[in-house]
Amino acid sequence: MKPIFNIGPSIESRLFVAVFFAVTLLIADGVYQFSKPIRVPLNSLVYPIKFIASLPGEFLEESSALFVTQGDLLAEREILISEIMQLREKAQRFDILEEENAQLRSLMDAPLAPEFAKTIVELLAVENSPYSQQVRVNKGALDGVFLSQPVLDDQGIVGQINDIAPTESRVLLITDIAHAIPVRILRNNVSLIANGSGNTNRLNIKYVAHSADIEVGDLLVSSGLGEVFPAGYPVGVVSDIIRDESKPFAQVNAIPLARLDSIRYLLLLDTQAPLTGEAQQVDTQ
Amino acid sequence: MINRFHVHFSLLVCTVVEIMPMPINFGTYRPDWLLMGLVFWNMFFPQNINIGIAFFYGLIMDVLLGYTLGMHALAFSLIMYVASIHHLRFKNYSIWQQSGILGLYTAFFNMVLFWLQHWFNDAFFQLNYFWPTATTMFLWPWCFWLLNRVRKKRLRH
Repeated sequence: MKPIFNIGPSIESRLFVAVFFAVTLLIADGVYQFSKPIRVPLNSLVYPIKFIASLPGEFLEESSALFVTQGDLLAEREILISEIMQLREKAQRFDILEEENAQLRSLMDAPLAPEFAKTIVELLAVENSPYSQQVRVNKGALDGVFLSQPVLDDQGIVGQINDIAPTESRVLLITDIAHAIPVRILRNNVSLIANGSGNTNRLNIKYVAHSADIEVGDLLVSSGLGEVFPAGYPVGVVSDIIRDESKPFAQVNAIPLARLDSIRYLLLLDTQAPLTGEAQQVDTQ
Repeated sequence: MINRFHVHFSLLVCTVVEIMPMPINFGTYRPDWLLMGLVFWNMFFPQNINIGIAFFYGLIMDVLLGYTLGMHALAFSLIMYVASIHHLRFKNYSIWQQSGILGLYTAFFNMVLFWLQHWFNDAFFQLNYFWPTATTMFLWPWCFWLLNRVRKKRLRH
């Protein structure tokens, strides 16, 4: 079925050109990651579209914030105060432990775990397509966000920065199928790798030998290998272990500790510029 | 004949609703608005709105959603090729037949996306990748009506 007045090249040649360019781009970007340095300018080019798309959600949120009653606010305040009290009590013990730990580590000549500057960011949007689990947050390159910056919530590790625009950035969640995080079991320091499963409530632990000492309920913390996530932050809890001897490895799943399905505020750790506080001075002595 | 401003404005609106933040449970059912828009305009202006435009909007989607560059571009180009070949037949179908054919297009589109994700990111198959097909088929008559009004309004003056 050809139209009577055909303008320009034929449809097949157009397809050929398009497929050629698309495949070239896919290989250049998928295999050699050529777009990493140009993502920020690209994102600022399409920023108007994103901005318009975010308007209805923001409007709804602001209008719902207008209709909060005083009673609700008072109740929330009550909860927050009791939470602060409990946390302060914990912090009292933590300060002492930290100092003690620093002294012990300096006795062993081990490097101290540095403390990092933290930035609080707010969730802009959840982008959970079946293939990728990402969220957008409201700080970007202008606020000093950098690629692969670790992201936490109040319970554990959430993910890492994946894509940066001038005023916002995208977080790749630890449950994304393309994400893997090196962890260790807190109980016995066995090192493992936790892969994303594509579900917000499950991590797959790969390559666990049948004989490995791992139990349901074991706490997994980041091991600091891979140099993206600092060591010692909680990641998940082992939820089930299937030891099928016919398979080369045991099948282990874990539940992430961070509440990935109800994110609101997140913390960015500035791992590139550790705080130089007292802890650091102890290290140099 | 063709008013490029109207076409691109409506395609941009499609892009915006395609990326508009939605509650987490509705994300799976999000219809492929941009695909509907592209197929619609291709049906009426096959000479102007075809593979090149589809490629361009695909690239925009890749940047917006943070995918590997070229994924949506390739999938949209392939769909646009199929749609362009059949645009005359498609135009003469009833609206329900059209939404059936469009269902095939979106199923193919989602499958191409899945294959690419599978090769590049080791995605594995889940049946709910095909929810967009159902919602797209369901929404096509309304989308058609709306876009047709955009098209006719221009033709009047």
